[in-house]
Amino acid sequence: MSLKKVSNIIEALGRHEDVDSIRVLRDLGTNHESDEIRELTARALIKKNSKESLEVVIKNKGKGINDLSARVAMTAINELLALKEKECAIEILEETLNSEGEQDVQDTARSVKALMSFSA
Amino acid sequence: MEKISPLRASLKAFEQFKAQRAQKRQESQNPNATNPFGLTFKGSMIKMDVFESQASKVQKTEENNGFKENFQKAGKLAASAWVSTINRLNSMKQSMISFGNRIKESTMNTWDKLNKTEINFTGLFRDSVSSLQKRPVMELEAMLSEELQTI
Repeated sequence: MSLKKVSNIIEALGRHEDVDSIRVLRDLGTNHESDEIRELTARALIKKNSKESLEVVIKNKGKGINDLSARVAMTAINELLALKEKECAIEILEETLNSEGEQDVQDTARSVKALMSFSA
Repeated sequence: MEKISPLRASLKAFEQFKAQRAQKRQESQNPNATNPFGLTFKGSMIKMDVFESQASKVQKTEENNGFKENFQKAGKLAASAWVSTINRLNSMKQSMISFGNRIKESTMNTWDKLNKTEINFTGLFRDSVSSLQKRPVMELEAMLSEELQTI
């Protein structure tokens, strides 16, 4: 019952109009030790489909598509592929590729961008 | 030679007439009865119906015996049927009583459960996504941090 309530709160934050909800999800959700919580948080952030929320799951190491848990990373990638409007996500992926960040993050972004171009 | 007065003579004649009339009345009371032999039994005349032939008497007794046997057999059958019917009715009565008792107990149990049950809708939609979405982010942050500590 407690996990159901947590899931509802994360989903409510994902649908919330206040931009501050992204900060709450980034601080509390993506840094949590539980794979399930991180998975729910990544999904909520991607569903927001805003520049700030997508940057959290694409550019940061250990979060979203770069998560150490394959389950969380695959869920985030699937959620990105399921987006109806992919322009914002592709734009952030290109920014990640062109930035001077870590190689692992860039490789992941390149792979996801290729997948999104195929699925578009 | 006794001398009879006319008054006494008329009295005797009246008594004789009275006796004859009484006899005639007795005979007229049993018009179907005849007594060819003039036999009496304890003072009353024996009727013609009493006299029967031996053959007819035997035949009648045989008929009576057969009828009695048949009647006895039929009576036994009827009695056994009646006993089985009574037993069946008793068993049906017992089963109906037990069924009624079971229905009564189940109804009472259901009624007690319904009386003890309290239906509360206040907290049903409190934690739904749509209601949480309307709350401020600070409140949701506090709720989320509190819930994450319990996991």
